Amino acid sequence: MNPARRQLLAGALALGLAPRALAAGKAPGQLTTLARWASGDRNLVPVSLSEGKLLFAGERTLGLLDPAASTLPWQVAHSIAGGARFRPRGHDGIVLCGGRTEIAAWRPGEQQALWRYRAVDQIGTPCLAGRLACFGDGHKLLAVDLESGRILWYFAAIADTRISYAPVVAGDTLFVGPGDGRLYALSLADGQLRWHVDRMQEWQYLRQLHVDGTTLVAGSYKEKLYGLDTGNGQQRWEFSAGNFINSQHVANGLACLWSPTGWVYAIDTASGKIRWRHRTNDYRGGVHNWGALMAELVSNDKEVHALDLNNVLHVLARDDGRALADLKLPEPVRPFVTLLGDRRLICAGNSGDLLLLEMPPLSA
Amino acid sequence: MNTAILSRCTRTLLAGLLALGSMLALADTTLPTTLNHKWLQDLRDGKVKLEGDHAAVGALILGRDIPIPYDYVATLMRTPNAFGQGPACIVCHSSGNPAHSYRGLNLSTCEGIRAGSREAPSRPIFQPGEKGSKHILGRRLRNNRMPLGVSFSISGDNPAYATVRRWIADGAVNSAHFRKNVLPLFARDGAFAPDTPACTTCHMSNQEPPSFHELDLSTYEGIMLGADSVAKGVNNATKIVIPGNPDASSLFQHLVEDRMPPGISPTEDRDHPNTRILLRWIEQGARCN
Repeated sequence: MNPARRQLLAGALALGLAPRALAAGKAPGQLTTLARWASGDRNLVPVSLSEGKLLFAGERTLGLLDPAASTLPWQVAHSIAGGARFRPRGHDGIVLCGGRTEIAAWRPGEQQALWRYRAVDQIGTPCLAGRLACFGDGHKLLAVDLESGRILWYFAAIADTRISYAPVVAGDTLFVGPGDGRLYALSLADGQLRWHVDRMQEWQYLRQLHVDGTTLVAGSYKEKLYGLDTGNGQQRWEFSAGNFINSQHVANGLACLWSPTGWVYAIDTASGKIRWRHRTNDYRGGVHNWGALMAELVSNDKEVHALDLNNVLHVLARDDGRALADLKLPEPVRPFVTLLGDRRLICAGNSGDLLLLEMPPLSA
Repeated sequence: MNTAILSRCTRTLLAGLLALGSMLALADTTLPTTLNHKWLQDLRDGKVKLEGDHAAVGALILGRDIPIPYDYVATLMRTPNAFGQGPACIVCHSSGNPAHSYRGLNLSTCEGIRAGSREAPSRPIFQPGEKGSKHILGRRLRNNRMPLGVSFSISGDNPAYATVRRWIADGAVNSAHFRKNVLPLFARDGAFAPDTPACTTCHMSNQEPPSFHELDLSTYEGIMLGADSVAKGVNNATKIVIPGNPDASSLFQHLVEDRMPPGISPTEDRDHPNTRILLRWIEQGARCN
């Protein structure tokens, strides 16, 4: 064994991360299709849970799915040029849906939109803070009343950049990391700047912002995941993923991500330390290599779920990352999965069908 | 010098600096002027946070823009595993004679490194004084060939590659030929090499969540839009196709350029400390003394 390998091994053992050969995965089980709804929309974006129902959107339509009902209770042509690009989001009986060119709100059951906002430049992924919808249009961050569509305030970042990724809210502060290298903390009430940090050289922009306790967890353009203090933006930790971070899932003290270097990492959001990692690919061929992961990871209190692009749902133990199951989906699906509880989940077939699936019992 | 050697060196250097710094701290508390004094001041100010070898290289060398001596670069070229698992560079690139050295590239001398490959098409592998990551040397050390995991044994001149190359060379237009013969290549498993996924497996859309590198290879518009378009915006996206110039098009580069050293795993860190030091040497002008 060469010195580099020895060093890596020693370090890994010290961390409790003994490297292992790509695990001989469990024989793929099968997810059972419990129900299916035809949306007629082939390019569905990820669905979201809202008040017990599921919101879905695609190139042409926006709708509502009730897992307990056999038909879709509401579906409307959204008429958004270029189609929906972001998952629809709902709050207090109002649904927000949009793409790069336009964003609009509906009250489920109604055909007409409550309001529409057409992009001056380009609309970014929104976030909802109560009845406030916050999204970028070019370099401006807009805060819009969800019911009326009235712009309550806006904050202008540096011109010629675009706020493409969703801001995030913690308490009465809104955080956004546009492409100007800065992290801004704004007053949610009026958009006034509370503070900002400028770290253009390190991250250029931050994306997929999440708040866990007092830590802001953010991926960066430059392949790193950061843990930042929500009070002042100071860095608490950084994690180098070794390659592009598509997205990260943050829940209950854990940030999980897939690195194309061939690992799922679970990072402690307080310390930035690796709690565990699970080998997914060694790129030397073989049946145990996972497909690439574009779907966001999801989790419950015991498991982390990873849907790969070979249409296999990999289930890992949340506490130590051990493989629990590899579950084959009944048909090719879009790159997202939403957990419903009771071992049920929602996916969308490439045909445009929404699928209610059930997982088999898993051995520990 | 491999990672372990580098690690020992940086730790030894760090320990030495700390010891020396402590002595200096007792003798002199005025504002420092030497590199070591500046280091000490940063330690005093709590500006130094080191975790792992990468951080040490960044803090001690790159962050202070220390001139990289050619001697170190020469050592890297002669050392196995210098940039990740694999043979030393000079094993395959030892002279300007293409009969004995691949591409007539001589990495055993400073002049040879600066001259680049001598076999036609002869070309430099970097531009002294410029960022090195986009030039041939930087790309070969950092970029994994696509589709990810494609074998080193796959020739880059098979019909699929030739089709893409010709399409770009002919102006990369959205023609019937493109739609029939080129675009489907990106959506077909094994189109460029056996047992490899289709390009669109990972680069399929720019919605939420984004495709890898926010790249959409499923449509003409997506291909011409380029990479990192969500965050950088349409006008500033990294163009992957330069019409008329396939060699300058990262779409084609990623398809045909093997990462070095040959056989290196795609899982190896593409920002190996030695790679960063080599690229810094180039940025500093690639001086030979």
